[in-house]
Amino acid sequence: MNRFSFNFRRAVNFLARATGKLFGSSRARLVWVVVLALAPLCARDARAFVVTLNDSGQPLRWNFTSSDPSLVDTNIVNPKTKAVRLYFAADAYSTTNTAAELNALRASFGQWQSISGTVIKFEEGGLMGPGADVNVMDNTNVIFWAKTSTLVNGGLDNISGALAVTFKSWYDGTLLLAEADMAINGVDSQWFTDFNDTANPNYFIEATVCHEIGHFLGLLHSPVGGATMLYHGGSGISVQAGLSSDEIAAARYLYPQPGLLSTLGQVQGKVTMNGAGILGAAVYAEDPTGAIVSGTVTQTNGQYALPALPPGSYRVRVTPLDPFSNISTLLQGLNISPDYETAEGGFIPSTNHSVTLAPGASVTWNVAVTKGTPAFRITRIRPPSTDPNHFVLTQLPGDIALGAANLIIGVYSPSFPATGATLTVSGDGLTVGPTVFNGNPFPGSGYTLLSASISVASNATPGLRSLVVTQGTNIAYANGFLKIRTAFPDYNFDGLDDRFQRQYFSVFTSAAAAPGADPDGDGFNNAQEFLAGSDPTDPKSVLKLESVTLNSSGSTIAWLSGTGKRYQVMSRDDIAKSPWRTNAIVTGTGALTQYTDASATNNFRLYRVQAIP
Amino acid sequence: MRTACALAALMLMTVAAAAVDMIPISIKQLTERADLVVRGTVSEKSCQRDPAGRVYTRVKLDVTEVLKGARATGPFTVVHGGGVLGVQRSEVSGQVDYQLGEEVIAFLVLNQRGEGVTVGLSQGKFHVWTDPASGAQLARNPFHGGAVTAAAPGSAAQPAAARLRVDDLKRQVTEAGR
Repeated sequence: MNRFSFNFRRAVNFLARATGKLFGSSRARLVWVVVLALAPLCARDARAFVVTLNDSGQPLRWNFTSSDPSLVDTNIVNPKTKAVRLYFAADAYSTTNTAAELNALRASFGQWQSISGTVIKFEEGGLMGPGADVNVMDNTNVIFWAKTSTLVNGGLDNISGALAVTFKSWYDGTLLLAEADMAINGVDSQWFTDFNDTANPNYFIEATVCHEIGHFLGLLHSPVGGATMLYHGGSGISVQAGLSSDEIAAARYLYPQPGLLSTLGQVQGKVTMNGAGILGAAVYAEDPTGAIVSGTVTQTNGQYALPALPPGSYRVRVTPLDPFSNISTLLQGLNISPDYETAEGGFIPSTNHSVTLAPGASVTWNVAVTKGTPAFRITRIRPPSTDPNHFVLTQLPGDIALGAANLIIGVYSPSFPATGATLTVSGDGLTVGPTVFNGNPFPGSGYTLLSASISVASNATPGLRSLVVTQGTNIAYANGFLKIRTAFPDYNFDGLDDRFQRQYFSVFTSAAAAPGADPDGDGFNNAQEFLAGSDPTDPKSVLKLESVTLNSSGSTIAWLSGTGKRYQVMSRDDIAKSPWRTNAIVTGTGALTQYTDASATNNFRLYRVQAIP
Repeated sequence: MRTACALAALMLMTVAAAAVDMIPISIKQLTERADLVVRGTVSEKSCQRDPAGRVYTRVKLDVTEVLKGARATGPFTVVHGGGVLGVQRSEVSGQVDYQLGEEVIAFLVLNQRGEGVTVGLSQGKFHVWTDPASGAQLARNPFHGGAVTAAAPGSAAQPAAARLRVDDLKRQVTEAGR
């Protein structure tokens, strides 16, 4: 390939001109038709998460590290910075919130770039003027809102009914990505940027754009319920707004830093039924806490792989996707990609198989599943709520905060049995109540419902748990469809609460917002300012004592503080000889908090106030 | 400029896999958004490059019935982005795919060149097929109409409501178009 790459584009153009002369003939057209007919036979889509592979096992992806300018223009991948260049349309979506909308795009790309151990890197080439459009042959990666018409790509495509669409071009043999554009539908859908606006019914830009960036990077849809790459997302602040462990594994597999994959493990194998490999069987790896870490679907020959898993123990299982129907399904093969429309759904879920992955290890698990129609399938989710009589029906995952108590969750199916079925949730730290059957939650709909109360311990392990219905030996899963939230949102994986970073920085994933950065130069980094409750962008806002006053009540210490922040007040009477002792733990009540030390006397005493988690 | 993709036959191919965050469009909405709703058969397909260099696919549809819009039956051109030209493939996530010889009911808007563009990518094309068991003519798209494959002997029958008869689709189009 490299040997011929010195003037690859020129060669392509020459060949295109040459074949153009042929194309007027019906013979040339016939050749094209043959190509289309052959294409599905060569399909090799599958790895954990789901990617496109060629027959050599190479996935569709960018070359960040050694991109050849004769193949991929330097305006697409910058060979000096090793970053994919992006051009955002300057007019964004609205006229009143333009800057925040552009920053939401930046934060979305920033989330993917924040995945540790990868070479993913983006840079802005500049802003585009009015009239941006799709053209994946113009050496410019464009991201824009279609605002006046859903006709894009020079009038070739109508994106009505899509929240956003990613357009890509690549080299067919090597699956090397050459360019990508993203059109966001600003005609049919409304968009917002405020992460704290949890009641907003419109679409949160970061959630949709993070999903589309997955396609931009080469991913197809995921079979994991709480994955950002699930085939559709909800409005508002949905689970998709933050990348899941499935996307992290995908990024590490496709774009690893040197040596990374030797620190991670892989499960691979083949799923067969009646001796033959089957297409589109969903395979999941669940960790000991009951969280789905990654999921994929099998190729035509039944092969699958779950790569880039952190070392440790897993339970691996195979479950059927739903058959193609518009009646009631949770996840069909078509939802992964059209290549999986004929996914085999007529088998009984496997039992869980335990594997232990050492760094760099690849464990093989071949499994023969039993042909048959499952006694029941979970086809809809009842999201968590406090009202036992409030029935909501969705295909989206639910999410629950740590410490939440007595919420009602549920699952729907056309065929749950009236007695004997139990709804459980995988993993630790959960208390799930008795299962309640409702044979007719929506009169005339044909749905049956199983519900249960659930409480989540404050120390439960966050992650994508699964809803499981059992009745004797019958079992059905909604894999990864219940997210146990982390204690605080950390979508850029830096350990610092995103809400703090979003409050003070226009792009929460930016370098200036990093925990160790000190953008105001006051000597306190962002992590310290977060703890203290001070403003990381104001050098005057730091944790410091404002006053010490001694009167008949004792001494009163006052310090600059943040509401809700915790401080440890300490004192000692001798600067050299006596140890610091803790007087009190005080919670900040505003910009200034004070504490009175009643034991203070008219003598020498040193005080120290320390911000604590 | 009319270039071609014959060379692609020599290349190792991969499937253009669709991937897009979609909201289902009802048949009523599809009809309302369409300038033209036609029934026809795909008779020709070619891959070309537009003046701006975009690779696109040009589909010739032999229209047998016009369900909405003013035009006669006969050949009509439908276009969509994506295709293979030389060694480079262009793909549009969620894209419609017209197969040679396929009978379809297509919901189309007209672009500035008067070509048909499928509404909502793959959502605007209904594949028309005949159930070998019943002989009924059925239609389906990614969100309406259920599976194409007939129920295998001995397997659980697909709920009848999942099927969309062509007559029902035509009736819904007619009603929405009023």
